[in-house]
Amino acid sequence: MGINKLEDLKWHEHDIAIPKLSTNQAEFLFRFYRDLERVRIDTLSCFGNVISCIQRFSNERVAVKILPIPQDQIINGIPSSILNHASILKDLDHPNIVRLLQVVATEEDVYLVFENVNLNLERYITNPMLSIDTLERSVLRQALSGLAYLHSHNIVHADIDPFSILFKYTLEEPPVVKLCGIRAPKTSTSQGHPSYKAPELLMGSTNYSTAIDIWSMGCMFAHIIKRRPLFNAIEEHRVLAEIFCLLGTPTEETWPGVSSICKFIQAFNPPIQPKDLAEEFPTLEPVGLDLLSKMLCLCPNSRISAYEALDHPYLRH
Amino acid sequence: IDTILKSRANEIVDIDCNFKDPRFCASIANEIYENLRVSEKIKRPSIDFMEKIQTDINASMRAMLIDWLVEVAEEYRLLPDTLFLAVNYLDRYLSGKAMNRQRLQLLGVSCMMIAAKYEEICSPKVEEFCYVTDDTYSKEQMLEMESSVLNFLKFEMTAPTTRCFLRRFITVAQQTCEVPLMQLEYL
Repeated sequence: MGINKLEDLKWHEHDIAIPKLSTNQAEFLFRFYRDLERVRIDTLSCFGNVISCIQRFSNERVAVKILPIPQDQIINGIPSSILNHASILKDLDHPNIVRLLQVVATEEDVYLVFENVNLNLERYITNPMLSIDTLERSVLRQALSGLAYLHSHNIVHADIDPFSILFKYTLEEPPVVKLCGIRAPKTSTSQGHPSYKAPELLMGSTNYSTAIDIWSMGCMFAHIIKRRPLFNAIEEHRVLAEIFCLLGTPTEETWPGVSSICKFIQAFNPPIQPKDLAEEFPTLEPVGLDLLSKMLCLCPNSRISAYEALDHPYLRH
Repeated sequence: IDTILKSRANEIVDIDCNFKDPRFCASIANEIYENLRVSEKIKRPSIDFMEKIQTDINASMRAMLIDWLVEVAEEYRLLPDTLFLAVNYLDRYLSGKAMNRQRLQLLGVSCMMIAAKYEEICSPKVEEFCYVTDDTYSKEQMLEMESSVLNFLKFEMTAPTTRCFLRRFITVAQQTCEVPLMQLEYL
C-alpha cells in the first residue's frame, strides 16, 4: 500500500523502500499524486529516484522520476543535459517506447512523468508464470519496431540490455514491450552492459552506428530463447573472447576493415571457426536461427537493420 | 521522349549510397527524412500570429530582434543550428502568447539560451546572456522566462529547422554542380 500523506511519509522515513525526498519534493508530489511507492526500474532510475504513484487529477498510475538540479548549476537554470534529455524523450511517441507524458520544472528539480510499466526483461524471463506462453516472437517484434522507430528518428539507443526492455501488461492483455533508458548524447557515459555490447564497440571502434543496437537485440533474442544470457562475462575482453568462441573470429573477407579497428585480429591464424547455432539453440526453428545469425553478424555493415528484421519471415506473421 | 527520360534517369545520383560509413545511416535515410517532414508540421509556428495574437509588437520588431540574435550568435560563436532553433522557439511562443515590446528582447535571448543548452556542447552561462542585453534584464528574469518558454512549449525542444533540410538539399545539389559545400552553407 502506498503512502498518501506527507505525515505518513515522515513516519516511514527509516524504511529503505521509501525514497528520501526533500521537503520541496515531498510537497510537490503530494500536491499532484497519491499512493506513492518507490519502484526499482534500474534504467529509469539511473539519475535519481523513481516513484510509482497515482496522478490525482486523472487517477492514472504513472512513474515519476526526479532529477535534482545540482546545487552549483541552479544559477544557470535548467542544466543543458536535462533539457536535452527531456526534449529528446518528449519527441518520441511509439507504443513500444516508454512514453514521457509530462515534464515539470521547479527551481530545484525537474520531474519527468512517464507512463507506468510493470517489469523488465530480466524479471520477465525468471518469472515462470509469466513466460509460460511462448511469446519470443511477439516480444522480439515489438522490441524491434520500437528500435526501428528510434533509428528512423536519428537516435542510436546504445544502451540496450535486459534492464532497458520493460513490459507493461494487465490480466486481460498480453505484455507490451516498452523500450526505455534512451539517453541523450550529453548524458551518456556508459554504453550498456558489456555482455550486450557489439563487437565493434568491444574492439574500441568509435565509428559505430545503429547496427550496435541490432547486436544487443540479437543478444536479447538469444537470452529469451535460452532463458539465460548468451554471453556471461563482465570484463569487455572476456565478452569478446566468448563472442569469438561462438561465432568465430572475423577476417578481412567476412568483415572488411576489421584489422584496422583491431590490431590483434590477424594473430588468429587460422581463424576460429564458428559453432553451429542450431546445436546451441536446439529449440529454435530454422527460420528463427536464420534471423538470429543475421542479427549476430560480426560485421556491422552486413548486420541486418531493424526494418529488414521486421520483414524477416520469422517475424512477418 | 523516351530517350530523353532515359538520359535524365542516368543523371540521377543516389545520394544515400554511402554504405561504408555507418554514420550516414544510408539504409534508413529515407525514413529519417520522412520523420523530419512529419515533425516539421507539428513544430511549426502559426503563420498569422502577428495579426491574430500580438497587439503590442509587429513584424519589423521581430526582424530587428532576429538581426540582433544573429549578432549574439556570432559574438559567442554559437552553431548556426542554435540560431535557427532559437527563432523556432521564439515564433512558436509568439504563436500562442501575446508579448509586450519591453520584454521581447528578454524572450529572444531566453530562447537563444535554451537553444544553446539544447544544441551546444558547451553553452554560455546565464550571466553572459544577461551581458549581451547590457544587463537590461536580471538573471532571475532570464530564468523565469526560460521556464515560461519550456513549460509553454511542453519541453518539446527537438525541432527540425530549415538547416536540417538545407544540409540534405545541398548534398543533392552537390551531385550535379560542383560548388564547394562551404559556399552553400552561407546561403
